[in-house]
Amino acid sequence: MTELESGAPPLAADKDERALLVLARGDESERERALQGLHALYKDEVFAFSKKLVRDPALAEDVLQESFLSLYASFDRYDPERPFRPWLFQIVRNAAFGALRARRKNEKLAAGAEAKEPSREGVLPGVSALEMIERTQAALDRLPEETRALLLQRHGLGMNLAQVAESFSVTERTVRNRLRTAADQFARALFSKVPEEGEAP
Amino acid sequence: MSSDCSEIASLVASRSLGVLDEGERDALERHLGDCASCGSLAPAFEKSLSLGAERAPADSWEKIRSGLASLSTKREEDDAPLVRLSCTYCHGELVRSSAVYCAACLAPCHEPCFFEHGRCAAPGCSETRIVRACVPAPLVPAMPRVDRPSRAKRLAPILVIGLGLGSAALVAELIRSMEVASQADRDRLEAELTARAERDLKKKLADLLEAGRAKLAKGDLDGALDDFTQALGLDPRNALTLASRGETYRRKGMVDEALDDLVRATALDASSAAAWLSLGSARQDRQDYEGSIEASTRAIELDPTLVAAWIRRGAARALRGDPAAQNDLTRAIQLDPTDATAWSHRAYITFFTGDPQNAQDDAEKALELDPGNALARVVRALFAQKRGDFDGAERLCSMAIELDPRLYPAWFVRASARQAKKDLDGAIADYSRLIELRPSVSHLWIHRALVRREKGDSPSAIADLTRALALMAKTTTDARALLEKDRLAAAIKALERGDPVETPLKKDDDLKGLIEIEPAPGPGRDRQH
Repeated sequence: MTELESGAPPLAADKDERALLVLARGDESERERALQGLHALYKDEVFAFSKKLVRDPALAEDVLQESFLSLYASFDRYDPERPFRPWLFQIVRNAAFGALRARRKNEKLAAGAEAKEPSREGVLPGVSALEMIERTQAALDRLPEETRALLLQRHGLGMNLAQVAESFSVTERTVRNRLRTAADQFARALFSKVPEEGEAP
Repeated sequence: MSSDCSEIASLVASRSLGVLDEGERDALERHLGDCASCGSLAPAFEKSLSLGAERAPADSWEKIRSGLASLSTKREEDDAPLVRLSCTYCHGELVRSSAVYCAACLAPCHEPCFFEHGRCAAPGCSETRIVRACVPAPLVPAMPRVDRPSRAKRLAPILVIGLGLGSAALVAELIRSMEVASQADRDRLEAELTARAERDLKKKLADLLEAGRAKLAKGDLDGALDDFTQALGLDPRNALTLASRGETYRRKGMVDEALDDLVRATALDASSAAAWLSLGSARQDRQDYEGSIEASTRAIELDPTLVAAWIRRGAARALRGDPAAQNDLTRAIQLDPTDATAWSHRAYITFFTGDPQNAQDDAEKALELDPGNALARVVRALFAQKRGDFDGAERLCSMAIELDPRLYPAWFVRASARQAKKDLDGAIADYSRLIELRPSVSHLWIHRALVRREKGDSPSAIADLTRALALMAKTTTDARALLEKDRLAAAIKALERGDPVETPLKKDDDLKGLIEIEPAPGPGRDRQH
């Protein structure tokens, strides 16, 4: 059964985010309808963002589910005078970080578990375009999670500086500084050689 | 890729992220033109960050829905009342998941109720912070509420204005707005009421200020004071109203109150020439000539065309024996050669500090411009007194008093003329009137004491001298002032012992006492207040 077949009025089809957020302050059934509408509006974007951030489709699915449950639980705390999307992705980001933390804990417990190793060589002259994409992706994967989330929100989600600042609860100037630092980190990761196991970094 | 490609990679990423500085853009473009590898980096970086056309799994809503069901079951378990709670504010039933607690006394409350009230509703507690029960909750960022003040805080200004203006309609509408159920309607009504309250307040303030200024110009000082005080009750930080009330206090002789208001007014709005001018006058009343010159100079800097400020500074400089006093008064005349007040002031100051012939010419010019100019008649009286024509001096001063009953020098010159004629009761009456008008001028008390001593009324003379000493204690502490205090204290002791008393006034004190009580600002100089 799709969400539009579930019997609820087709609020999602209206894509009226404001109306949904008004409903989110109503009783339990209205809140569920609001959540359903917001899910329809944002599910693909949340899933794509999560998948890119956690780099695991199954885990991204869990993050999607956890994000919308957290959103439902925190409707009361939503301030209608502030933009919704940056707040939603703050929730999604936290859900993703929580999922990654839980996975790392499990991996430590699981003996012999090995993470996929990125390329062990730095960028060399004369790489092909395809190879450049692989190496760029590998460099991005080696960045801290917070930094990757920042880059994804800015470029992947196309948020402007004000929206990113709202989502991270910082000023625009701080966002700008963090983005410059992230660019430096990316460049260093791109040109650094990943140490072999047992080799001193 | 060359060795500086590492730095270029950072710039490429910065450009894609929209945080590249203008200065760096040229360097980047130059490098990309030469380096093919770096040229392919930007598309690779952007593709790596692109979310693509990912679709969420089709059954994601079903999973979330089943998650909601288990969340609901868990909440019901959480909300099962172990101890029945009720809200301290509305006394309604409380469940754990919606309860917040006062950070100081832990009184339970609905969160909306707490913010509606603005603080803890428990008797005797005024805490404004809350804590929540320690229950496991999903990791969700709290939305800051700082941008939206509590309802009580939002409505309080409207209520204050409504009550301050005595507007029953405004208060009634405010109460009605609180009964509106919809949040959007409440917000709209609140915005309308706020705008209306501000409009009403502005109009009321403007009316009060205008009425006060009209009364001040007519000399109804008590009426003006009432209006300005009422206006300040509505807006205590209005610099113009404060300056106007300060000037009114000053004209009533309440120099301490005047200084309080005027210092605050100039602190709130340092660009008001009128406030600085009044402050200069009040400081001169306090015999703080340096302060008076400083404030008058500020007024002149802010409005070089303010004739009254030039006159004020000229008078203060004259009191300090500064020859630049004449220049200030001349400047005042240059600014407005038809202003009889400026001419008569220069005549008055010139009589004491310059060429008497010039003083006479200035006085005649003032009378030519304005036959009703009282101060010019006082200058004529001074010349008569100088010739020994005390009857003529008394007659001219009486005419001046008739023209302007608040003209202090007229009372002073008549008092000294009467004293010279041995009309001691008449002189005491004139000095008493002067003291009534300017109670903070110490030399007036000394002059009356001297007349009373001449009349043989030593106790009253001692009382006057003691008051003069107390007033001097409030003024400057420079060497000259201390010397004056010593002379005054010695005179009091001699009077108490019944010994002959030397006059505590030095030769030039007559002049000082006279200029200190220079004329009150005329109507032409009231335009700023």
